[in-house]
Amino acid sequence: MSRLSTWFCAALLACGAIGEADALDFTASVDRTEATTGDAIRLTLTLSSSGNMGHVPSPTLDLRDFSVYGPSVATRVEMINGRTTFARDLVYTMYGRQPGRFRIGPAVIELADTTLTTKPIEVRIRKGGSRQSARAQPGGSERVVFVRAVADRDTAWVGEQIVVRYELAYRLVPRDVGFADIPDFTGFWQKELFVAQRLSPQREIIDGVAYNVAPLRRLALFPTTAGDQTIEPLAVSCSIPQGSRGSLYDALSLFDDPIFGRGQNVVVRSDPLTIHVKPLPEAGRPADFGGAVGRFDLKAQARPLRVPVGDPVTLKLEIQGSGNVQSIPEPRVAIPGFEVYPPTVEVEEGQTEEGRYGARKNLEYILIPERGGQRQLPALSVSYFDPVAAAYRTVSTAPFDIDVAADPSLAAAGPTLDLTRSEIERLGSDIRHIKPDASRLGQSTPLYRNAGYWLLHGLLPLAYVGLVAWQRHRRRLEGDEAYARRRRARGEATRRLQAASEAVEQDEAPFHTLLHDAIVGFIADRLNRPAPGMTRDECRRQLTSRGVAADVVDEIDSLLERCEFGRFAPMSGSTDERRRMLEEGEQALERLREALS
Amino acid sequence: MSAAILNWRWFALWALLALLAGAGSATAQSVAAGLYVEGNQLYRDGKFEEARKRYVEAVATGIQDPRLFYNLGNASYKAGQIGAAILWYERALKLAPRDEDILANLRFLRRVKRDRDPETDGSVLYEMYLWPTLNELFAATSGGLLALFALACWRLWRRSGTSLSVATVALGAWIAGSALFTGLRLNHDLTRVEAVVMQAEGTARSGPEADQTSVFVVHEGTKMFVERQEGDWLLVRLANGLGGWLPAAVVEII
Repeated sequence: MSRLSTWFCAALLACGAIGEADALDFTASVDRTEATTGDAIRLTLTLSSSGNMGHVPSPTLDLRDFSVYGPSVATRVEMINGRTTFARDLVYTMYGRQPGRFRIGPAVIELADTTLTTKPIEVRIRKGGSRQSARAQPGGSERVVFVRAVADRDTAWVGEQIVVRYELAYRLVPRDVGFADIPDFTGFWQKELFVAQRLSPQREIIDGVAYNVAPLRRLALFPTTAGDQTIEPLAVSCSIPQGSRGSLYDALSLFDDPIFGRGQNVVVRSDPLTIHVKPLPEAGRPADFGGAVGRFDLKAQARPLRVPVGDPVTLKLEIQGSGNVQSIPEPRVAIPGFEVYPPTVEVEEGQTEEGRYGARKNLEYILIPERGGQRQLPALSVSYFDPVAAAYRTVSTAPFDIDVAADPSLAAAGPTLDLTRSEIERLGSDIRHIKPDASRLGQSTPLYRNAGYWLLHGLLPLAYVGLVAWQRHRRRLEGDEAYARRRRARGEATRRLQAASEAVEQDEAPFHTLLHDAIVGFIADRLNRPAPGMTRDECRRQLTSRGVAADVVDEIDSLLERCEFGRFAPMSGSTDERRRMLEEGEQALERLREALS
Repeated sequence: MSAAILNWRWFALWALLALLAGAGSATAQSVAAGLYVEGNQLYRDGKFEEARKRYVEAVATGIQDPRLFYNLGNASYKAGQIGAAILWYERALKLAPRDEDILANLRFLRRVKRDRDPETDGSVLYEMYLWPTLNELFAATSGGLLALFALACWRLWRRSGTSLSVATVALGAWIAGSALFTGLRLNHDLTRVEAVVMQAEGTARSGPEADQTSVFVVHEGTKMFVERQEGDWLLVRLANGLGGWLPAAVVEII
């Protein structure tokens, strides 16, 4: 108290008289308009002047409903755009004595030639705790910073654009501002218009309290259903600087530097908004209405207007306006004598001058004239609902005339010929036709069910084994004389017997010699002995030593004996006798072969 | 000499038997071919049900031919039996897996039938695995074996010993690889049992009893795998893995 008085006196002494031509401004503001009996309300009276301030008399002010401390005085000099402003603040710290509504001011300063008056401020005092506890409550910072949600209307039609803006109001510059909770706008179709990258505030007095107000977000919302729709609060987290002594009261005092103070993290939320959404009227609704609400324009352009048959004409439609332009359906273009292709659609989004959502929808149709002649593109129209007039409206284009020149090459071919180029179209589909071919029906069995296939594979190794055996035999014939003679014995004997049988008919021919040689040769070959040394006795001895049965040996011996006799007594014996001998020889050799094998 | 005579007798007997068997199958083939041609004519005349009956009789002679099965599928579809049509196309496809007509008609019927096929992620590798036919695989293996045999004969003839050559190793690898592939595919084809729903609708249950919980409902023409049978019930599995028990009468094995 004593300190503040000292300041006040010093300030008064420091100031000169106010110049007469200076513009003067006298305002009053409070830091809160609602408080408990324990909360401090700071009332600031500001006198500003474009010239130097001299002596300023104390203002008269009725504050009898409050306990008042102060005022503290501060003089500021501000230089803005080369203009110097002198300001003097008188700050009163007040506490409400009892609950109720009270009026502060007006404060009046009587100068020599004029009287300055502030606007009165209404404050409401509720019953509350003591001063000490109120200071300690962090909830007391609520109104230091808060988020304001403002909708440009609280009643709207279904589909009508509502612009909602969120602003951060603060008295101390918050740091680390971020969105903590973004509503999902259930029941609305939304388009973001603006999101703040940094705080760019403007000064605004809200309920008598001076705030910096910075826009945070701006959205265009289009309600999708009728009824009361609630827009959920947006939550912002930030850090509020606090004084070194840690209390809110100190933080708000003039001498604390917010930059070096400690931060207090808070989350502030906007109030929920309720929008009353009215359904669109049924009466007078056009057939092509797609739900677009707002104001829209339609422009059309067709190029070229003179074409030969088969050349494309481009029809451009531009639907522009403020509102949900996507809800306008593409106008159906059906023109007799033209092939119309589905349009390409482009939507460009932007903002109108008033900061509302606006969009342009560009449609491009390709029309191919199929027949020559003077053709007209009929007027095209789109419908929307005008929320201001609360009525449906239809905008139309003017019709176009198109001169289609018949193709001269077609004219020469005759008027009945209609050659329009088009994709081959599938008219329908069905299963493919039956297969008529009956040849070799049912003869295609799988390979693995075919016996011949497996037989072939079984024969392969057998064939290989056979081949190896044959190869071995061949080699042995080349290298093993005894083996070769033994293998050849039967063939040689057969050959000689054949020669003998040819000699049977001739009396003087050497039949007996041939038969003898056949038998002896066979024995010599089989036993691998030199044929010239094989006498009758030698044959008997060799065969007996090889274990040939005695009767076979006897038979051979008797045959050889008769052959020797015949050799030395030609002309003996008849043809029949010789034939019998030949047969005996054949049988004897067969038996001998079996005995020796 | 007597052994040789015996051999000749045996040979004659075998030849006679073979001739008789051939004549028997030849008779079945000519009968089936007659029914097939008759069925084709009825089909062209628009008498699809009668054509279908002819084809069924032709199938009953025991012959297996993709063309017959395909035509029977066509006649079944035209006679209003989508399930039977798909069944016979699938059977035809087993004999001629790359026939464009069969594939086209199957594609068509898959769009026509009531159940949409569950999406399966058919990997390229699996498609490559299924691409060659069994005949081609067997032929590839046999080709390798014959080549190896020829090579062995040539080496015997040239007396170039028994040391391994690059050609022998390569042929051996080829034979081993194709034989492995063939074996896997044969096992795959023989053990994978598939069935087609033949009735308008069938309810698959959680167990082989009529009072078990219904798991899903399938409609005519839907193809599924058959895992096993218990009494009159089949445990089936759809392509998307969904499984359940269906009465055996509802489906027909492909």
